[in-house]
Amino acid sequence: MASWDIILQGIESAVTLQNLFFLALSFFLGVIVGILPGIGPAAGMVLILPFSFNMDRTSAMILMSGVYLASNYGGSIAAILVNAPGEAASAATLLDGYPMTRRGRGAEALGISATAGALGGILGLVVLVFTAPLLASWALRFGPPENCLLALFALSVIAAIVKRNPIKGIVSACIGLILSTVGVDLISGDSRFTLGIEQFQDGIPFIQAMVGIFAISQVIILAEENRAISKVELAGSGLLAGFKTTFKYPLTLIRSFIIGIWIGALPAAGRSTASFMAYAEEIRAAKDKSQFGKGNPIGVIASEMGNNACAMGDLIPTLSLGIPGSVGAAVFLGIMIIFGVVPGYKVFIDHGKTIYGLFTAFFIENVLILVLGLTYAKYLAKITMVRNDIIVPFILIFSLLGSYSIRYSFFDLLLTSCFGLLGYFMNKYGYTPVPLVLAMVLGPMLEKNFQRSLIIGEGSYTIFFQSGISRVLVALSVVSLLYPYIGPVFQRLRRRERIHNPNPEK
Amino acid sequence: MKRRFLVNSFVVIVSIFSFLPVGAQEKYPSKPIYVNVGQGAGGSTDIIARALEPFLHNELKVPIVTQNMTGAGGDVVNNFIYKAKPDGYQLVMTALPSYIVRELIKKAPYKILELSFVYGIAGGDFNAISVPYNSPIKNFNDLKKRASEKMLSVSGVTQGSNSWYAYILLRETTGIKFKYVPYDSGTEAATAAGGGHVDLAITSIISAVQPVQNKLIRLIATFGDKRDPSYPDVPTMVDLGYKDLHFATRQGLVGPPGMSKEINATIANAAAKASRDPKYKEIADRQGFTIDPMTGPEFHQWAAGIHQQARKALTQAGEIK
Repeated sequence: MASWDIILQGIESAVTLQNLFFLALSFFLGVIVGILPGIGPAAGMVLILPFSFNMDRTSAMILMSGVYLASNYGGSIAAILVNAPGEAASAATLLDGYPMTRRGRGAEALGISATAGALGGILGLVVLVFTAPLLASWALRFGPPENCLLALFALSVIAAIVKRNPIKGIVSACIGLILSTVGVDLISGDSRFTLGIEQFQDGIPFIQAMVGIFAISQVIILAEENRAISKVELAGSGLLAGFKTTFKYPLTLIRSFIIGIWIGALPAAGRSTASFMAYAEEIRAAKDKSQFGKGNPIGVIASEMGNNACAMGDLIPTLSLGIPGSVGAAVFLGIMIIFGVVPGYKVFIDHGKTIYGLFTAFFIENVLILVLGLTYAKYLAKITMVRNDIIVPFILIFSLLGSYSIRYSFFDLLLTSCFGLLGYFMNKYGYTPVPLVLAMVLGPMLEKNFQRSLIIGEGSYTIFFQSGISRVLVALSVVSLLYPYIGPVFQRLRRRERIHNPNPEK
Repeated sequence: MKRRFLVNSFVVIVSIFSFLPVGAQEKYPSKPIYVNVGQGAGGSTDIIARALEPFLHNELKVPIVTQNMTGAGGDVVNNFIYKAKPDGYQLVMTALPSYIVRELIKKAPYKILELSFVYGIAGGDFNAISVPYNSPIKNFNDLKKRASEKMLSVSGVTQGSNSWYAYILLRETTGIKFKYVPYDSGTEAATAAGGGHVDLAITSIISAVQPVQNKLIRLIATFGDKRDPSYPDVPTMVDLGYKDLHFATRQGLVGPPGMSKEINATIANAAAKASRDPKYKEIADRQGFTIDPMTGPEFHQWAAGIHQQARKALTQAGEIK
């Protein structure tokens, strides 16, 4: 912590007319970057980097901050309204956000996204300011075995998700895991399972696949219907509907926030892992799991809270240790260094003015997300009442352009279309895409750290039981895998007791 | 309904494509020049290329687009440039020796030395050995002693990278065997050492700067031919008695094979001016890379030397099958 003097100077430097202009510009750019599938926060920041070379460092940082933060919000708008994941991390938001839209609750979902997102951002900022060095040093204790087990624990939630239809769920998870192994093998450096296709050498491109599975499959479904996206003649409710709904689930908020911040602090995982893990955790915690994927507001809250808390969490190791918490944060780190802000435990003192200026900008942007998000939700949601024959071509073109623009590859258009068909048939035959996507997000983290652990442990599995953290994670995974099947047995036993002894109190 | 859907689709597609410019042949350069980078956004090669963008633009007066074409340790970008049309609109910010190492060990279909070498921009970043800050290993002698007691683990970057190449050279020259733990980037590898999960890390000095400053790791030796001015206390492997154990890394612009002399000269002149710009040097200083300009032929000659050296070393190490 720096002295109040420096903090005030930082706040002052952020609220000059010029910097507020950059802030607004950057916020706007960030939303655009977010809405377009393909350009993520990292690519967005490097695109505007050359423009910042002639600015002073506070202005430059502020120009980057909006793209870094607001892209999450923009990504969620596209995800909720038209099922197109604008960012990799918004793929978790659409799982319940879009079904809400279909049921005429689009504006409410947007409101939830803005509220939970802004709340995650602001609370994340508080944690970043007060506990960054401490959390960063804890996160360093996660080595290959711990990261591997963390991914395993997150994947074990699939047991709960697929309980209603285990075979279909496991098929979906297996497809995801198989797809996640395509690409370069970490140890040998050789390409594997690429079918000799050059474009697969770096693995199945995630965003292109997500655009296919969610947006393109939805385009086909919508084109078959003669209606609008919103099935009822209603796009949304009052101004504060989303705001109110968000605060109905305080436990969800707390859980998702902790997951988001922690995944952010870990250098090995980024925003999409955070939002999916927060989402998965809510399914695990919920009593009635059948509502997920059908427009459960809890899903949107968890994903948005996890996502935005993680955006701030990613900056914890970045600022306090100079170790980027994610790809986006890595770009941020590079830019900071270009402007002479050398990260490290002393950054809050040496560059207090710039850092607190940056934090002020983040704070204002979060407030903007909340205010604009709530105000415009109703109008944005109107798009879902436009007839399908008008809106569908736009979604199609916009999704394909997004997928194409990532690496300017026509092959990716084909890939996105194939995943579109996969998503369409999965939907038609009742396979949920959640295990597939979860496995694609976590597969590489699981496999790479599994391999690293075994190299360090010289092939012995005991390395997975060596640290206290590992043992806790193993225990949690086992419970999480077995509980959905053993839990009901216990409940039945308890119920039987109650039947034998109907009024134990009396 | 279906017909209307088709008609609307058609209208949207046509209206979008009508905005795209129609190609016309003019004097070079007359359209955007793409500088492809095999590393992800934010990596050292990426920053070198992106920082160059405005300066090249000032000279060439066309948009310069830095584009990341990641994958398979550079195979993707190298395959692309090897087959690209030599019209001067597609370039690569190459990273050596890693791409040469990759070509040799993977028997890759591309040949780095056949590319058109335009201009060498940066050089003089070396790889270094670091250990966790509280490690009992304080210097290279400690490391040797420790290694004779148990097999040490070393984190580095995927096969074919500069850091992997340094590890192979170290292994072959000193005869010490390690457990090599590959990571996706040098920063991740240095972080693994910082968290005490491996005994040592071999990464570029640039990747190690932040963890070193934050007392997470310590440098114990570098692979430079002379000591790094920022770390005068850290010996080179040459100082430690391994006189052949040194190599430098270099980044520069290359184009597809067979690029015409005129086009090559146009870009080289612009790159030469850009790399002499004090503003570019300022960015380089902060970022930790060293501008070390080399003309195309010099750059090519240097690369040919590296190629020969790497082939010999990797064959001896049994890494070229």
